[in-house]
Amino acid sequence: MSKPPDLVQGTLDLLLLKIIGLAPQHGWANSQRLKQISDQELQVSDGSLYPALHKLELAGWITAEWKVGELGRRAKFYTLTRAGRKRLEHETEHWRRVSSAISRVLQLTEV
Amino acid sequence: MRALIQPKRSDGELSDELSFHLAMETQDNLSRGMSQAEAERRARLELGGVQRLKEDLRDQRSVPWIDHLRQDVGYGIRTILHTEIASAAIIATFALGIGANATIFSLINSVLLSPLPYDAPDRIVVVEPFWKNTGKTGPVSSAPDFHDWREQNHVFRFLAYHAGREVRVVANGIPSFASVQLVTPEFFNVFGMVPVSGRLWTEVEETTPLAVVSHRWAVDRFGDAGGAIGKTVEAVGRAAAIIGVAAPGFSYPNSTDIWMPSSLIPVNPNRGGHSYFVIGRLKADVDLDEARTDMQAIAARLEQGFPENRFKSVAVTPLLDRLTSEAQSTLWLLFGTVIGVMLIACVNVAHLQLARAAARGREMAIRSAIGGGPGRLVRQVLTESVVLGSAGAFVGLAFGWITLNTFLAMAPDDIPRLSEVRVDGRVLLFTLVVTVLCSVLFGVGPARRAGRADVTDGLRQYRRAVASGVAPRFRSTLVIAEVALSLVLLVASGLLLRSFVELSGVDLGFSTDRVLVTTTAYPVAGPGPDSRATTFHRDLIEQVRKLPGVRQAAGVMFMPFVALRANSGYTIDGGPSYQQGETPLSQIQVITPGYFATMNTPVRLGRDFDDNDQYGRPQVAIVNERLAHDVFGPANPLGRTIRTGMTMESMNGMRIVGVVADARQLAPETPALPEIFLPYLQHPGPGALLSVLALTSLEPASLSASIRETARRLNPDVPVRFSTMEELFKRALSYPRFRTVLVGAFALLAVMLSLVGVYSVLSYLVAERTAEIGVRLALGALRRDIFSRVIGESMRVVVIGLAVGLAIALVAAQAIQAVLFDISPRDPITIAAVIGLLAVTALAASGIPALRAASVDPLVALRDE
Repeated sequence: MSKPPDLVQGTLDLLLLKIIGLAPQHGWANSQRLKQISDQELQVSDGSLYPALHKLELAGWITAEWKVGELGRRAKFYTLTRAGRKRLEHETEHWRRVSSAISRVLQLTEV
Repeated sequence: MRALIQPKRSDGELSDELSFHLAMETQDNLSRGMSQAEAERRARLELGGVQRLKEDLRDQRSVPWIDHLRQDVGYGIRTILHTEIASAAIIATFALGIGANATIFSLINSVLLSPLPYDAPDRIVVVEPFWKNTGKTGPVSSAPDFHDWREQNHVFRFLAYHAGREVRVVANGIPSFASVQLVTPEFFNVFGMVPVSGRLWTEVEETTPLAVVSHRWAVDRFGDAGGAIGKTVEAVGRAAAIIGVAAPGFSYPNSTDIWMPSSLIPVNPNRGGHSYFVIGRLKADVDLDEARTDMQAIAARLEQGFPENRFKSVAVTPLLDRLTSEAQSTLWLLFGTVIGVMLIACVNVAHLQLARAAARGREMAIRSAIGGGPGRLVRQVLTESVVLGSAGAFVGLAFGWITLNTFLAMAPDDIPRLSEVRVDGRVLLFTLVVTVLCSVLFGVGPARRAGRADVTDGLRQYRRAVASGVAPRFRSTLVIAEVALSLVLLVASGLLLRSFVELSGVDLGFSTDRVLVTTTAYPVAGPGPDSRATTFHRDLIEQVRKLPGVRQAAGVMFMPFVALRANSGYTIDGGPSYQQGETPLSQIQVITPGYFATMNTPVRLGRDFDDNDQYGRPQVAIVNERLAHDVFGPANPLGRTIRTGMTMESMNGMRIVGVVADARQLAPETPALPEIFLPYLQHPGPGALLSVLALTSLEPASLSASIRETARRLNPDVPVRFSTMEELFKRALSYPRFRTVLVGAFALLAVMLSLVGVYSVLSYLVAERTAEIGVRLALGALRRDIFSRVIGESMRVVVIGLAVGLAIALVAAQAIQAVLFDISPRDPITIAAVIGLLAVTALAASGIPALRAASVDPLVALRDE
């Protein structure tokens, strides 16, 4: 079984902001969405998911709310805040620039 | 913030969130057809260690170090309570070290470091002559020099001098002794002293008999400060009106009671007559170097202008340095000693911590296995170390406070500022810094081991896990350090002790046994011949001689070991002639017949003075052997004429009628200087103050009542007071005694701590190797061999420690050379004795663990494993 590639540093935050931005989610759903969307390509260990979520919450980019979730149990739902949306835009822009720069470099052929 | 205040609630929410996740994951896994157990297991595995994750999350949410600190301190205290013996040992060791340090630092802080209790005390300096030919600094200056300094300098705001001593004063009609200083007008300005009541005298009142008195004296005599104003005090032959009472606590110099204008008695107009203590306040913008340059320029001009000033320059010293110069060496020596004690204590603590860490290897391994990160474990052990250290510091401060009071009781009176000694914020801060520094420094080693705790090894065989690796070598280093430090301290203490024994037994040239000293002060109207004083003293001595129990009695002007002395240049008729400024100096002493018999000083040649050596008869003198040898060598000095500048009579020449043995008059450690004795009855000038010595066959103090009565019958106006020669000698030895006792006590403490250290390290190593020893025994090793092997290994380390210590001691002992008497700092006897003592005690300390090793039962040892 080949190991899924590690996430580029800092990109987990971006992905989480993006996913939560689509619809308020709880942690487990986040992890599921992440796996589905990326076709299992990006595997985020659940162990690193929660610290990341809590970090975003502390930074004020997402807020949390306790609601009744599946199985009739209390679950913590995360919602993107206004600051979080700004952050998402900024991070997305940044990602585009970085990834296009990397692509350009990779397209170079030896002369 | 909420996380900080409500960690419990956050914790609960964390659990909820994570368990929800687990539930969902399990559900998901179940739907993929896994069994319930497998589904749960997979979910947990996916999430990782729940506990660790919670810790991570908590760290992230809260201000983690505060949270950890609270946990660590709490945990530390619980652990300390569980491991009470090891913890008590650590606390006690710390307490001893810290207590010793706090005590000595309190002394240093109050005596050397705290500013003097005057206005801007760093501006106050002492000005003294500096003799370029001898490199000596004299405490007293001449009046003409002072006036030139004062007029020509550009650096002083105020410059003043003072001179004085204990004299007879009469207040409220009662004669008594009081310490009187005659001072120039700017004296009080130098200190910025503002009187609490009344006023100071002005320059125009310089010749008016006025007095300013100390607050304490005023309260003693008149009930309160205000009550003294306008009253009269009779002193130095003048009835002075008290116009001011000094600020409470002001009593410079020493404990002065009364200050009066310096012009009330004739000033010595001679440039060579050094009798005045000069003190000044520098201008605000002048530093010490500028002051020195300016004053030295003046001194150079005076040297050109006056033959008496040949070789005479000037020294400017901050007052605090001058006051504490003698105490400094003793106090720093003690400080060095207690730091040594502290280091040994710390080494012991390090070992005890290591032992605790080893015993807790399994605990650490478990904590690490369930998710304690290495950083966290290190922090925890360090926190515990600091908690222990603080407990030690607390006990130590209490212990230090008690010892401080004991030391103060036995400290020499002449350590300045002892009354100011107290435990203040600076002492507490110092203790805090030492505590934290030592706990952290010596907690780091064990803590690092805790951080490296190997989970599998630790869980399997915790003892071996910790015992292997660097630990044995680290322990050996601890033992080496302890032995070396103890050796250094013991050598210092041994040298001081030997030096003190030498000093106590030194041949003073006179006997201190059973001599009662009666000091009197006859009221005379200024200097000059006054036969009433001499008659009084002659009569007093005569009557004292007749008292039952008195074997011999005589009078003397300057008591041994008292700073107050006279000296003067001298010449011999027909002897060598000298250039100005190079005339040899001699101590001058004034005595009555019978002095040598009373003091038990042998007369080597010629005779003692007798009752015929009176004013108007041929002038005679007795010299000591040192002077006779210096001037005459083997030739006979009897009958030669000697001249000295002490009085008019002595300038006119005196015939030498006797030579006496040398006597150490200045201090027990100072060899006799050339000395000239003058008969009291031929030099009545300064005769108001005389001490009457009585050699008794009874306990000397028992005679004081009858002597007081005798004096009162002769003249009720003369105050008398008593001491014994023995007391004077004891007082003269108070510094060396203080040093010796304290350094000795601390060195003993250090040695005991070290021996405990050596013992416990060795016991530990033996205990650790019980299994190995069991195997050896099982394979046929002899118990004797095991014993000698353990001893041998211990001694190897001890010998290295001794060698290291010896090397340090040989260098460090140079530092105490200045306080040693008649002993080389490398005294081989002391060093050999110390090495022997340490080797033997270390051997004894290793003996018990070695015996234990030799008596290991192989069966038990192997089963243990």
